[in-house]
Amino acid sequence: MQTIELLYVVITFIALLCAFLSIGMLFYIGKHHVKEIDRIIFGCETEDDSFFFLMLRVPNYTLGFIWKFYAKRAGLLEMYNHFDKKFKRPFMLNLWLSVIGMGAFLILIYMQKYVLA
Amino acid sequence: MSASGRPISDKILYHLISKPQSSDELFHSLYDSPSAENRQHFFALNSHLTPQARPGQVVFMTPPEDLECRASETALRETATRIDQHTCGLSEINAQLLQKHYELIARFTDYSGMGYGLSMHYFRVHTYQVKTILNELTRLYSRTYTQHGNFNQEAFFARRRGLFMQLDHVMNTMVGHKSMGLELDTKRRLGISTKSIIRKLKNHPMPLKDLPEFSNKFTQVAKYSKRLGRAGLIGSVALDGLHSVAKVEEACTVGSQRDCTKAKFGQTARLGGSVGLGYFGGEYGALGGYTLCNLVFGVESLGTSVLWCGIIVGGASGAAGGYYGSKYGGNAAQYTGDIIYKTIYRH
Repeated sequence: MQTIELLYVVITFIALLCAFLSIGMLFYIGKHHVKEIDRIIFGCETEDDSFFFLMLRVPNYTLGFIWKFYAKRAGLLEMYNHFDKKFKRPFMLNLWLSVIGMGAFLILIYMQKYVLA
Repeated sequence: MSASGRPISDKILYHLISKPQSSDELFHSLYDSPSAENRQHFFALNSHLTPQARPGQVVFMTPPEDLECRASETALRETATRIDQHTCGLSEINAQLLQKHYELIARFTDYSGMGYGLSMHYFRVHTYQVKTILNELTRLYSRTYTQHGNFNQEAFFARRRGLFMQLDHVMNTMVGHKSMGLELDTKRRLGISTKSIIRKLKNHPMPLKDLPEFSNKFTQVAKYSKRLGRAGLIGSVALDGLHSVAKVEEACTVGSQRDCTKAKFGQTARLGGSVGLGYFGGEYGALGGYTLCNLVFGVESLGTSVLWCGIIVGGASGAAGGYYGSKYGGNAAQYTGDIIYKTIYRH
C-alpha cells in the first residue's frame, strides 16, 4: 500500500467514525435535549420527532447557540439566552464531529477524483 | 402486433386500481355517462380484468375510434397482463399509495439510502404541513364566526387568501401539477369522470421508449411503494444494505472468486460511506437551505420561518444533500474497500 493510499484509508475511517458517532449523538440529543428546547420555544413538544426531523432541527439549534444574530433571525433568542454551557456541550460536540466528518468525506472525494485517479 | 419501438400515442390513458371493486363499478367510476360503444371498447381493451378488479391492476383507456391507438391495443393488453403478474400481492394500502403518488414514487426509485429516507421524510412533513394549514383554516372560520356572527370581514378574507396561497404552494411543491393526473378540462372533453385519477401514458414520470417498458417501470415503482411505508431510518439503511448484498451476490454468482471477495470488501465499505456521507449531506443540505432562508425571511419579517424554511426549503435541500451524499460517499468508501482488498490479497 502506498503512503497516499494509506492516508486515504485512514481518512475514510475518520470520516466513518465521525459519521456514526454523530448519528449516535443525534439520537442522544433528540432524546434528552431537543424536547426541553421545544418546551422553551414552542411551549410544547413538537409532534414529529423522527430521526430525519432531528437532522434538520439539531444543526439549526446548534447554529442558534453559537450565533446570536442567527438566533434572533430564526426566533431562537429565548433559547440562546436560557441554556447554560453544560446543556450546549453535546450540540457543540456533534457540530465538531460533523464538521470533521464532512471535511474528511470531502477530502476523500477530492483525493479519489484528482490524486488517486 | 407488438408496439415495441412505436412512439406512445398522446391519447393512451391509464388508471391504477386502488381498491377491490367489481369491473362494472370500476368502469362507471371512470366514465361520466358512457355509451355502449365505450363500454364494449373498454372491456375489450382491458380483457385482463376479471369480474372482480383487484388493487394494483392497471386499466388502459383509448378513444374507441382512434386508428393510432387501435394499432397499440394488443401491446396494451400484453402490458396489462404482465403488470398483473407482477403486482399480484399488492395490498390495498400500497395500491392506494401508488395511485395517489405514482409520480413521486417513480422519482424516488432512483434514490438510495439516506437520500431515500430523507425524501420520504420530506414528503411526510409536507403532509403534516397541509394538515396544519387546514386546521388553521378551520380555526379561522370558527373564530371569525364566534367574534362577528358572520364571515363578511376584510381581515377574514385576507387571512383566508393567505392560507389558501400557502396550501397551494405546499401542494404544488409536494406533488407537482402532473401528479394530479389529467386536467379537469381534458377529462370533461373526453367524458371521463372528474373524480377519477387518470394519467396520460406519454407523460409517464420515467421516460418510456415503448409500451413494454411501461410494465417494467410500473413494476419497479410498485415495489418501491411496498417499501415506502416501512422506510424510516432503519428502512433507509436496510435498503442500502440490500443494494450492497445484491451486488455481492451478483459478483459471487456471475464473476470469479476474486470478484466475489473484492465485491465483499468494496460493498461493505460502500454501505458505510453511503450512510455516513448521506447523513452529513442531508444534515448540511438541510442546514444550508434552512439557515439561508431564515436569514432572508426571518421571524421578524413574516412569522412563517418554521413553515417555509424548515419544511419546504430545509426539507428539499436536505433530501438533495442526502441523495448526493449517499452517492459520492458510497463511491469514495468503496474505493477504500478496493485498496484494502488489493493490499490483503496483493492483486
